Amino acid sequence: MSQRPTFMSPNSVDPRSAATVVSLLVAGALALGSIFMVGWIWDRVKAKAPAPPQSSIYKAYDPSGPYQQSTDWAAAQKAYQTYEAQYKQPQNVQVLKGWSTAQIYGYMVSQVSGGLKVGCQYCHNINNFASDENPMKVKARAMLLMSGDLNRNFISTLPASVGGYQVTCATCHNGKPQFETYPVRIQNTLPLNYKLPLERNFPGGFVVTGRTDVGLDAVQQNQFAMYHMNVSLGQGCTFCHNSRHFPSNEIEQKTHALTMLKMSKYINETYVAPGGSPAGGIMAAKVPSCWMCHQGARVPPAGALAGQVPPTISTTSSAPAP
Amino acid sequence: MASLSRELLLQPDGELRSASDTVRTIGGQAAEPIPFAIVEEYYKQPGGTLAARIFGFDPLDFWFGRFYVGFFGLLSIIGIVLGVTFYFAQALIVEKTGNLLAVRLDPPPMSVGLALAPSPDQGLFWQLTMFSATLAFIGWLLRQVDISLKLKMGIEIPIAYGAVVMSWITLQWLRPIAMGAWGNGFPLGITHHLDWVSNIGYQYYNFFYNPFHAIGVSLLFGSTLFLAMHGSAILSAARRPITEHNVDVFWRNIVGYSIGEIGIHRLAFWAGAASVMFANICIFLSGTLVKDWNAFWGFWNKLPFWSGFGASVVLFGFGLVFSQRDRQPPVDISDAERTDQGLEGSIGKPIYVRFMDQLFGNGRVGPLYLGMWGLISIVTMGVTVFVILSEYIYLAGWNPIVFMRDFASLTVYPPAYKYGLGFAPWHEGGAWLFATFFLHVSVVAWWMRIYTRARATGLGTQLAWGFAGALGLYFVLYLIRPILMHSWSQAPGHGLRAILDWTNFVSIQYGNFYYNPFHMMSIFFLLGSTLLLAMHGATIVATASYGSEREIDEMMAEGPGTHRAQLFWRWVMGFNANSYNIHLWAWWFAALCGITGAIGLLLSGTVIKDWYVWAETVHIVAPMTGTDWSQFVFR
Repeated sequence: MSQRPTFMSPNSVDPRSAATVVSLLVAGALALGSIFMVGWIWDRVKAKAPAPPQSSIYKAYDPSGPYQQSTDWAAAQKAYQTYEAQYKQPQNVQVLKGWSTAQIYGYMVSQVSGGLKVGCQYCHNINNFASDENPMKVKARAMLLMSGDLNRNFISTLPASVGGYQVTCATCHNGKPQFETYPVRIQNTLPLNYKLPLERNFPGGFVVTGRTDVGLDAVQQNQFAMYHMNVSLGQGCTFCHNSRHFPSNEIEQKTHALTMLKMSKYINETYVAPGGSPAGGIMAAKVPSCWMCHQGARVPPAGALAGQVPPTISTTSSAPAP
Repeated sequence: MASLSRELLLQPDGELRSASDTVRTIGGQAAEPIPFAIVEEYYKQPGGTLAARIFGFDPLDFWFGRFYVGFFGLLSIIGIVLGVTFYFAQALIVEKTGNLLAVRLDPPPMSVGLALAPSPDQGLFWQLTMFSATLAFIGWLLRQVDISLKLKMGIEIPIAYGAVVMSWITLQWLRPIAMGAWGNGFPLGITHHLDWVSNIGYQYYNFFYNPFHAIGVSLLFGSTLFLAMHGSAILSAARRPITEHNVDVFWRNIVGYSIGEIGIHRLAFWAGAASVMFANICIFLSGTLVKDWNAFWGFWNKLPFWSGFGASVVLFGFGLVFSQRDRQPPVDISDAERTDQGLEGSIGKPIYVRFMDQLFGNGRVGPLYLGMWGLISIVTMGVTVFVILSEYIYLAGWNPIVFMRDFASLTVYPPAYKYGLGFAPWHEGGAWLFATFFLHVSVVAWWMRIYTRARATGLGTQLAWGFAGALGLYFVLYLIRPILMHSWSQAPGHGLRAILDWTNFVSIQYGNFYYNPFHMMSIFFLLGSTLLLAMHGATIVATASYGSEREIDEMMAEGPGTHRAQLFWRWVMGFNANSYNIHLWAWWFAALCGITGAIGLLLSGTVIKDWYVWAETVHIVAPMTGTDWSQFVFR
């Protein structure tokens, strides 16, 4: 009636060596598990990522940087003192109308220089701030008009619950004069040259559920776009969808995402490749992405707080005369 | 009379079995059976339970009809009665519905944290049902231990069942506690739990990319396969003038190895339990450590051995290992598997693998039967594999390191929608059409091989018909449904990730497969197969010391192991199978998994465009008003 061990055939295994093997396996599993647990607890206990910079202008963006310590920067400050002493009211202002020289200076330093982390010389001849001789200044003006256009026509339609953030230079530039809209590190399993299909119309452009006029290749393209949004906002599909039925519109964020898609399509058609020609655009042929502003966060870290964008290009501004 | 029979049948070793032991090894003739009432009366003895061992007495050590009660039976009954009451209280009082399909029990909102829910409309009945269910499951587990001890069996059955209980504890206790709120628990409700599974899967972007999910699901499918194979093997040998030796030769003919009677039950026990353990890891990591299962794979391309230097180090390591491998001498070739018959003969010589002997109790591998059908199947499969691999290396830009690194992602896609059912250029789907045609020929030839070898070794053809059920699903996937949909693009691409993506895409395009009732049935039979496999395997392993694994003989004359196996389940759940009809259960569960899956897929897109909309029209969708959505949003 004595019971033999039943895990392994008793005829073929020496109980002692079996016991050794089992003990080693259990010990190994316990050791691995312990290392894993310690690592996990350590991860939880150790100091979190540095707190996002506090700013009176941005959601979580720090406009300061080494560019402010350069000799160019000091020279430009000095040149500005001279200019302001001479002209209390600015010359050749086409966008920021109604502001004094000092008001424009405050905005330029904190949002234009601070947004791209460049000195005044990037666009201006510091001996004559009003001059348009540097083509970068003309381009920057077009950019200001673009941010006004976007704030007025798209950002203003988002409900107050989103937080009232607005587009300014740093929102897309994030401290870089030139930036990648689709960096390789966020593509993960997507094709490396993947871009959002902004030639489609929204809403409706991504709908595949219940359709028999598309194949699974269309569903795959849809999934690429959806994953791009996932990784750009640091959220799962359930941020916008009740995933039990993707076409339903139960979650408010889905309508916001559609507004943002329409805006991206508009940027692409108006500022990246107007009339289908990238040469006429001001964005160096960079197709806009969600990552461009969101950088992995629900709210773009360099979104401007309510009331911080100049009134002439804010959500409440009126369209400039053509 | 009864006691007289017992006297006659009780053997010198104290076990109850038929007096003429010889019939058990010859087969073909049913022995004079011992009436089961006598068997049960003999084993129904007090004592041996956990309580009796620890406290010296067990006041609840009695039977209620066929059911064994015991202290833990009482605990289970309390848990079951309370849980069912709370469940119906939620349905009738809070949800005010008698539609059991659409009832939902959501966990408390996230703001409650790990506290007791304040009111019935804030998840109180979810909590109470969940606590009661946990009590019932643990009670049931310990009751199984009691019965195992009482029958002097191993405790493999409660171990396998414990793996399942552990998944409940992971889902409802460990993960919510690790994440800080009961709100992360698993909602209860027949269709509503599907909503949670949809949402939790997509919150972490794509659960199909979760490697533990992939292993768990592979083990579920593997378990169903093992169940079909084992059930067929026993049924095809049952009530025929043959022995287990015929079954061994059949398996060696087909795949070169017969795992043997005890081996298949060990494998069953391990595969069933492991599928659940991997499922536990897969859900526990989601939300605690990983929030994007696509980005999770970012480490892969950064591994050092994708560089030329790293690759050479790894290859050198392989070389070291393989150059030191010792070879086992071949043993025992003197048997009926002839190798001198040309095409209709066996290839290879039998070898002895010590590791497999230790693991499964049968160390003999080979020889393999070749035959015409086998040759056709292998050659056409070779063509398929060659086309697929050559497309891979083309897609990898002829770079072997990229080929290895991206192996799981490389895919030979079917022609896109615009090509319909027509041909496509070679690199845009032509290769897929070519490879898939040869795959069709290969699987049909393999079916013929299974059928003809079963005939040749004297077995029934149950395995061939079980495999036909799986082939039904295969042909719906790759041939019938694409033709009905007028587009090859509805078929899966050939690639590891492509199969996962296809599953995801087809569910999205047809409005959530969870609401497809045939998918529900297929999953039921899939999980049911794993459960049957684990429980049957554990039962046999636990009673193997009494010889229960010799099922073909045991069904002719039951011995003490089979008696114990039957009594265990009779006392646990009030009824039991026997060593013949448990394999009928096995065969049908495994076969219906493929058949119902094929029907569900065949209807998608052809008859039903959107399964969720269909589910709404038949009123089986639970409302989701008041669900705390913050559980699905990262903060």
